[in-house]
Amino acid sequence: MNKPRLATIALGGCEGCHISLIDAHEGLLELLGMVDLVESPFTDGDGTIPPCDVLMVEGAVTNEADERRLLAAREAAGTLIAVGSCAVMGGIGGLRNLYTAREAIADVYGADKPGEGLPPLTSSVKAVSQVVDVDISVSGCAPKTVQIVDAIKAAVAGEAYDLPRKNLCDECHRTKSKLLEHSADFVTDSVYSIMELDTIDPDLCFIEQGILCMGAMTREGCGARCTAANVPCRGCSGPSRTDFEQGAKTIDALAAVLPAGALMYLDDLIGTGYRFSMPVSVIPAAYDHGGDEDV
Amino acid sequence: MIMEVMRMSEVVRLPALKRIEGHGRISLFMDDGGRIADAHFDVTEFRGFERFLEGRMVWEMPLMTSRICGVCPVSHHLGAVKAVDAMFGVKVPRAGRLLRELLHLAGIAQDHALHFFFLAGPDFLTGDGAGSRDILGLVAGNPKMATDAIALRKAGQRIVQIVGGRASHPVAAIPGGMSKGVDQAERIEMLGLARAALPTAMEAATTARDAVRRLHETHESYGFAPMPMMAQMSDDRTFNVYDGTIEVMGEDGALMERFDATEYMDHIQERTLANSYAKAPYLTSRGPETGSYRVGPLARINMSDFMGGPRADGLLDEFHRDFGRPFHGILAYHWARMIELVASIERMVAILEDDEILSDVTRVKVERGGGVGIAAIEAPRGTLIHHYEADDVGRVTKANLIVATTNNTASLNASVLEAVTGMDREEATSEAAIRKMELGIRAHDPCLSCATHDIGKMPLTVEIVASDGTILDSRGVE
Repeated sequence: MNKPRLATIALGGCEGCHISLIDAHEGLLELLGMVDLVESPFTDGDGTIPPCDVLMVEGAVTNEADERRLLAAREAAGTLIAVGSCAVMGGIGGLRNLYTAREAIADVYGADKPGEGLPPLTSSVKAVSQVVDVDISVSGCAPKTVQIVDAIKAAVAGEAYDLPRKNLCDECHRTKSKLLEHSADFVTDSVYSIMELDTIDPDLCFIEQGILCMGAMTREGCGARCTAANVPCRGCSGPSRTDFEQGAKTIDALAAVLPAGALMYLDDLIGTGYRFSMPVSVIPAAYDHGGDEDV
Repeated sequence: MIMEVMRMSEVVRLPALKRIEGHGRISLFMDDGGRIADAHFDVTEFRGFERFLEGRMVWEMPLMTSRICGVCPVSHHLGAVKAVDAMFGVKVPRAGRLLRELLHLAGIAQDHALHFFFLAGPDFLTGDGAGSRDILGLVAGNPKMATDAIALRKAGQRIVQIVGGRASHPVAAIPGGMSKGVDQAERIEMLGLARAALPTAMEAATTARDAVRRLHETHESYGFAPMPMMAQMSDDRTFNVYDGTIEVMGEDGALMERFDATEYMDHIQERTLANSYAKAPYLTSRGPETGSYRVGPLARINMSDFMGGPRADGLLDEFHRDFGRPFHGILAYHWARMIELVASIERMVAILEDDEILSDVTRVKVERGGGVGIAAIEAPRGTLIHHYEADDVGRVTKANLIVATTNNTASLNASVLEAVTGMDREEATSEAAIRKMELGIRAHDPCLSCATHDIGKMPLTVEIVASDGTILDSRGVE
């Protein structure tokens, strides 16, 4: 009996999702026994995706070469799994969309910018679903190993795979008290970074400690490892439902409980609220309208 | 392998160079006589971190820059946090420092194991009979080695997860120290993992030594071009990946320069390359033509007098006895990397045996502010420098990162050119030539995800460029 054919491809990103897959350790051997791995960054093929039953895509579309490779891979694949927040939402590299491609290159490389012979950047960074149809999405930066493996196994078996829909607070161990009281006052007098706290309370909700935590705006399923490690959530799994903007939701949710002025002045609502989801959001990307001057 | 030369600028599909972290491209330039006269290893994608880090809060840098690389996120996480510590003049408590070093060593251990066994190793570990020169070939042809590799990676990633909070893109290093400590149960688990990994790592070092000796026989003097080397190390020249002073060793082994990371701009300049998003750093004292240098395991092993543990010290002596000092042969990167694996594990054991590791004083409180913060760390692939400037509320106004692979740009180019210099078009794209270029590139373990933090993913293609700039032939996949 022929085994299902699996291929994996890495577009613009950090390869961390492939590393998370390899972190299955012995489980990787088990997976390799279940499928024929016909192409991946870690095998010796020529980089083109041959016909396959399941395709894992890591990374966002950042240049025209990514776009061509993705379109060709979509043609070759049965079930396409977008893995990681770059593939699902554009990811952290999507913050480039705060600027036009020309601005970003000019700023990093100055006047003597490279360019000749390099694949042109797309005018904005795009999620995989903004270019081709996606069958299964596994967000997270990076998703937990078990999430990636389970999604691949589900796809191989022809089954659906859905991430949980609640927000991170649901699986976070921290307790809320002031947030649950009916009060006209903010829960703290200012907004802090965790480094500014005398002690970081390991069990109290970060919001109540005056810390901008993205848990309430973020999909659960990651195991709330960051808040368990005494560090606030930064929203890498994206919104728990796709029908709201993660960054706008952040402002909406937190302005009621944290001092709004301090939020705006002492923290970075754009870079935190939209850190992993800028390309799938409506605001606040910059658009290059062509011509010499941006409109 | 079927190979045919197609018309100008048409793409011929050939096995592209993979099994590097990220994807790149080789451009071969021909002289008027149709012979290869120059070669570049290009980085072809741009992600723009240095631009979009501006405007972010500086204490978020450890969480954001770790996303530059999924292979060595720990290095960026710690490089960034050290730079922010420097900006705020923080002295990290001893337990916090030990935990960070432990985190870094575990990250290096898993990374070195990944590269040696899964990425580069298949070129010379699986033998000619293997079905494929990759992880699948290794699993099929040498299952013991595959399980060793998995065991080493598993130990490293588990320790990263315990200390850093997550295996992928860890989070626990914050300005001032660590957000949390470890408890006795975790310490015992980590100590068990590290001790059990040591014999496996020793075997890997023997395998690497034998492989390098064999490679030197089959490839004679390939990759011996002398170049200065750079690494950050302890004052007594003990292998130290977490901090120290940056030193540059000349081609003859003499100390050329010694400076604190904060002075890097006086010693290193970067130039932009045509056709590549990677920048090429060089030593200011030498200038762009002759100022290139090497970093990474080969540099560190050449420059270290001690490795900090008895087993690794024995291996270091053997390396220096075998090759003399300095030794410039790039194929020895593989052996150097495995000696570092042993040293990293020995150092992890030593840290975990120190009772201070259980202290709950892992951080100090840090007040926000602005200024300049610069720090260096030895990443798996070499010296990594993070440089931030921030305004009074802590918003980043400038970010500059010099990553390990970028430091090796010139050495990568030299190893590609040496493999094919003087060849005509046909010879240069023969299977033997491509394999040799691959061997040279992989010895460095280039990480293109890091290489411009601006780069990304293109499978490797080879371009043949005529003296008038016309692209004659392009092989691989776009």
